[in-house]
Amino acid sequence: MKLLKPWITVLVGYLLLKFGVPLVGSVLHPGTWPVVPTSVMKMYVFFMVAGALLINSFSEEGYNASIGPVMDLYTNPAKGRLRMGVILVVGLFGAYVAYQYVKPTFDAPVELRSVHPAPPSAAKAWGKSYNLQTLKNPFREDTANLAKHSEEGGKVYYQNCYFCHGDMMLGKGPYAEGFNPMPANFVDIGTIAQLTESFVFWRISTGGPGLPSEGTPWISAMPIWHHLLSEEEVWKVIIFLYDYTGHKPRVMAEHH
Amino acid sequence: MRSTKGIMTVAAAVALAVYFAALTGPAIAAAGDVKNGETVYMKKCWWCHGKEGEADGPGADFMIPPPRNFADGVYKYRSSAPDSDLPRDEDLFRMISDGMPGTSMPAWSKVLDEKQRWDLVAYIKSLTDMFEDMENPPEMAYPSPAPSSPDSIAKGKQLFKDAKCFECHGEGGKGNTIKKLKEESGAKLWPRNLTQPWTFRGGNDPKDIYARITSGIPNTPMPAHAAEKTGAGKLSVEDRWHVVNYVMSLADSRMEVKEGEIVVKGVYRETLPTDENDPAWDIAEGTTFFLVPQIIQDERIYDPSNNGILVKSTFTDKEVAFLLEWDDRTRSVKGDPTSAMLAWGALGSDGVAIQTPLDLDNLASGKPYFGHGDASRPVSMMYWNSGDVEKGQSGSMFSTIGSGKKDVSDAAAAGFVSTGSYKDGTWKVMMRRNLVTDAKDKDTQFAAGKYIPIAFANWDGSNGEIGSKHTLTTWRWLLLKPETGSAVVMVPLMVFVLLVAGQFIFSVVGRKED
Amino acid sequence: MSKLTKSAGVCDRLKEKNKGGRFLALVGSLFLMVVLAGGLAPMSDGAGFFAGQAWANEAAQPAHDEASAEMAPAEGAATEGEEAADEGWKPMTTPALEEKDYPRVAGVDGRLAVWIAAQLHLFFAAFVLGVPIFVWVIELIGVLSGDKRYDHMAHEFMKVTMTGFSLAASFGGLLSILLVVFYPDFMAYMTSVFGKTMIIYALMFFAESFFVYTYYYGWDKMSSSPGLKWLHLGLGLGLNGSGMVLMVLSNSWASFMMAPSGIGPEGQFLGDSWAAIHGKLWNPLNLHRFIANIAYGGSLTAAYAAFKFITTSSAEEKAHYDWMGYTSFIIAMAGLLPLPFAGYWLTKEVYDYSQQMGITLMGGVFAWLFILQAVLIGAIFLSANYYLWCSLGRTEASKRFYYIIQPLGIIIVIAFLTWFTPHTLIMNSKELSQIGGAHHSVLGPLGVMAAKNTAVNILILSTFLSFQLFMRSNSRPAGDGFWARNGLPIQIALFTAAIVNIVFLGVYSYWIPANIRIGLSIPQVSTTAVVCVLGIVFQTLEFRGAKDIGVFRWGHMPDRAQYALFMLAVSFTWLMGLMGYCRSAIRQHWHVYTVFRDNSIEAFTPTLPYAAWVVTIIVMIFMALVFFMFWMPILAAKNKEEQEAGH
Repeated sequence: MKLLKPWITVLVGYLLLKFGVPLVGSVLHPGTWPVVPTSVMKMYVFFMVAGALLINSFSEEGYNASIGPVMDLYTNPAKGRLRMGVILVVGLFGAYVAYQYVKPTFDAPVELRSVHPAPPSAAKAWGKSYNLQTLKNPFREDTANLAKHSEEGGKVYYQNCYFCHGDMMLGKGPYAEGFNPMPANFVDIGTIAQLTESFVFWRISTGGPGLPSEGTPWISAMPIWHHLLSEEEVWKVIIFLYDYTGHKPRVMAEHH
Repeated sequence: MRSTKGIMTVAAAVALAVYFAALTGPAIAAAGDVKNGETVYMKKCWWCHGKEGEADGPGADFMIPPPRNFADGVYKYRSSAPDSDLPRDEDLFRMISDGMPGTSMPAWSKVLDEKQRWDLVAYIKSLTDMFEDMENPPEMAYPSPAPSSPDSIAKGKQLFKDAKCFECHGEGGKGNTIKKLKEESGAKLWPRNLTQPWTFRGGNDPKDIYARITSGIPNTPMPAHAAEKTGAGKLSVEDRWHVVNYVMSLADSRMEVKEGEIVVKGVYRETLPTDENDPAWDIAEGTTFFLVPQIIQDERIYDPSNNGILVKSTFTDKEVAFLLEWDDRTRSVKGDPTSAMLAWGALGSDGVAIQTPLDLDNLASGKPYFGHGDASRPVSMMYWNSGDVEKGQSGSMFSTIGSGKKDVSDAAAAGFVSTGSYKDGTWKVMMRRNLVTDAKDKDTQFAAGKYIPIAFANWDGSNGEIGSKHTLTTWRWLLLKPETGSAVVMVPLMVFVLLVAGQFIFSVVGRKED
Repeated sequence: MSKLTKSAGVCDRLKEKNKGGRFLALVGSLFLMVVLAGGLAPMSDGAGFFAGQAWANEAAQPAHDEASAEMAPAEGAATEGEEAADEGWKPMTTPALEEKDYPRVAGVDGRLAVWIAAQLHLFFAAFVLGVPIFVWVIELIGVLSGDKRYDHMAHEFMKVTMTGFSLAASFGGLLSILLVVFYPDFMAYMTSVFGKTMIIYALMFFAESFFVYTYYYGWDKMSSSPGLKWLHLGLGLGLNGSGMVLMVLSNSWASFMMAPSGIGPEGQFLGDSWAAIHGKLWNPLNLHRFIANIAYGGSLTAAYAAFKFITTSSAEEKAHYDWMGYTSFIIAMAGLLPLPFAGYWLTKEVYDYSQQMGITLMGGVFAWLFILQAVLIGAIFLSANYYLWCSLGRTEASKRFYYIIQPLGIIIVIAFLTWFTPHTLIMNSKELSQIGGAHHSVLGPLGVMAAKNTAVNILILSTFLSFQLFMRSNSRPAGDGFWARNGLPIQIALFTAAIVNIVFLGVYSYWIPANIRIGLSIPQVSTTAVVCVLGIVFQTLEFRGAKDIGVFRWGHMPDRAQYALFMLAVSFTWLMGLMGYCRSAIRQHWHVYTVFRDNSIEAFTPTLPYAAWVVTIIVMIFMALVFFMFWMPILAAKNKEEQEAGH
């Protein structure tokens, strides 16, 4: 009975992962049922079972008690029929697992991609070179006219950006569905809230093709906006993004 | 003046809300606060609907359908009784909360709380005098629906014909109109494709459809069919339900994009289908992709008409074939008078293109730019268009290293064949070519068993889509799944034999040790 | 043969003058220690690298301040230009190569060949560099304690290593040939920068050979007198010293390729070898490899002991190899524990050098390697704990602790599951829609560093607890001194407080900004370190003069515990292969990062499954060779026995 305990624990652990995790998730985010993805679940179960085996077998008594019955089944001449059955079932199970692996599927490949590019020290746009370390938003200082510049930036946004990044800045514009990965969500604290304005300027101006050739693949559909917008418009739209979302651009600490 | 009007409106809104709340509505409706509504409106809404609600915000010119004009006070989607011209507060609330599928109006319930949305309702009503002194109209009566049955659907189909619904919505309901339609404002308008209920702006519940048929859609050619109204095409309550049932039966989810499905499933066959209408295509499973307008370079387009493309693929040891299928309301052929009559802007040809990277071996560090590739990573294209009346349709192959930098390939040498046909609002185009060609610097060399990035482009020639103005997909995947052969049986069998033998040996050895 | 006689003669003479011999040995050891210290000194970033400065000066040029060499290349180039003109030799600039500049030999994939040879060389080199370090320490312990068993064990460790030396050298030779064959221009460039150090490397190799042979073959002969024994220890120091120099020199080539230094904008060598060697990543790499070599050597010798344990049937030998396995295991674990921190330092310096390289390492295609790494490290911890639990079986008295193992095991498994929960979850489309986006509301928070730090600290503490349980399993505190009475409650309190502190810091860190959050891992780690040190101190105090409860039986271990040791060795090897690939591959399409572009046909970054397969196959080849290596001494012993029997 004592030896069953680890297995019961494994079962409880599995049930917790299978139903407990989604339940907690559905409370945190109503409307979702965040299951543990199969890929992760397999690893979890594997290591729980491995753990149970280890706990069961470290002592001589434990080993004999847990492995003994198995050995008995395989070697006891009196259990011939049962043995054949088990051998067959184990074989069939193996065949089933093998079939699952080789059967043809059209699952999408897993795409690994880099998310956070490091800014180069300089970037080229509008035929000029910008030093991103020292680059500042020319409209940021003009606090008196910030609201005006923000509104002008908003116009740029609604005529160029909102189609993908959306009305609500959540990266879910009317055409966002066509893109994978999804367009950036500006409300999220993981995007513009963590970036300097010069970085945002670089990302907008040079777009996906402007990303460094190191650290690939990026898989970005961001167009090269310096082909379509003026420098001023880009700075203004940056003002608008921070103004609308309420985020503050990151300010670089003095680098020594 | 403005302030008195404001106070009046507030008073009216409050009175209305109190009245409404006292009757049926949720208590929160009573709190619709015009002032708060204005604050929210001036932060979130005016960009499209305009500061005065006149649908002239900075974004307004870049969307079809255009944003609602609140100053006019004419609302398209309403559930109020047919004798009323006004929408109910609940209608406005619902449109704000849930948004309108297929338009630029998002579901604001994601970022605005319930009170803010009711405040907005109060505010946008204050932008017109239509609601002044008006009570919230009662909800339309939905008399007991006729249950859907083959008989009811058949009746609905007949009524669809008799009431001349097909003239705009097409015989199969795909919106393949025979008339050029526009909004009262003159804005471009394409009739609803009734086979795609997920694009119904005002909802696709039977009740919503009933409401549309009954009250029509103001501002558009969609008439009211309520018997209470006068004019042509009146339908009795029962008839309207038959039509609802018929419309519901038209739904076809094939063209709906399934979340997470991004692979074109290339199936191995001994022989390829001969053309786009070959029933052999039925065996292949299609994948549907969302088409987005090209808004990133050159001449951009903001008002696409086609929204999805279904792709099938089969291949043999030598060739690969693609079937491209999309709902298109117009068959656009240059020089064709019908096409010209229906077209908005200059008439172009309908077209479709398949794009693949030229070099399939070096993709780990990135795919070509999805818009025509770039100098270091060229792409290869297969292109078909409906052509003109004289020369008919045509196809070609070429490679590009960026927009406009194309290098034409010898399509005949690659065994390239393309044919297309249009029927009842749907284009079907087949493209076929050799897997491997001699022009390795211009043509993608297809190979089975590996994931090949693939992208599509589509032109609706009657919607002003010419050149760089078109819809597209970003990179998706094509997998030409090799014939599984015997592996699918042999591998499990071998595992089975190994396991059984292993266990058997184990038991024999174990017994000896005893 | 003549060499042996000669050295034996020297020994004899030294034996005669016992006192003088010890003096000589001491002076020799001191000298070698200075050399060794010279190798270690730059870790404190001082300018006092003994040998380094020596050949910087030799270059007839004042040693460049590292910063000035990097920041003002023009200046350096100009000075060097004059000098070069005098000598009539110009430093090579990095050539812009094309595909045709890379020879294709017999259709062999050059990159793959170099990869396999380099990795196998590194496995064996790490092994033969790591083992002598602790062999020397064990020999010293044997000398100081007078316990012959230590000496025998140290000698046996050396015996295992001997085949490794020749294999390491053979693969090293193969690697250099392959490099010259497939990458001639690259090698020409590297020689133009590192020519001097390469010569020193070759010389050091001779020194290493000398030391290794005299150390190993002189072992028995030099055990005869204390003076000779000290000389022998001096040879061991020489072996370690020369090995260390070999390692740091070859490290400098690898670190130069990742973060070049001492060169001008065109990639031309500026004449200061020290500047080229002392790149930004050199010392982090030195430290990381030094510690890893010890851990790796320990894990392989543990596998050797396990192999011998399983294959022998004599109870006496089983006891010996059990002890040997246990010792190796402790060495491996002692090496493993500080390794992550050396790794953090290396990563931090990578980020410091090039943020992009850091991002490539941690955020992009390579991110999945770190999940594999997490799984393997978890497997190491599971094996280690299992081995320690099995160790309890060496005494009967330990049965009283068995009840703790199950909850401890559960904690370890939970910590492990948290530890490898990926940041980016792989999910199919159905799961994606159920989860409501790529972010998992429950597992997502487990994927970030805060959770991982907490989990790994708990994992280390649990392993340490398993170790503590084993250590105390056969002892009962003696007397009623303060520690004898209160030692246990104090230790329990210590562990409890540590766990509470670590979990609290981990949970708390979710509520504070990212830049402060990173800082919280330091108190977490310090807590673990403090518990490990204090735990040992307290336990020692508690058991001062303690009595054994029952008999302690070395060799009373099940075979399955030995498989845990195999598991440990395989996991270590695999980890080294995968992370070594990762370190090298983040240069992507550069031979020398940002300076010398790789334009060969194989310049692209391979897909992860491909890389994982290559590494796995290399690990398999290596393991087969290791088996061969273990088997050789047995075969030799057998032959000897047969010969003796024949006589």
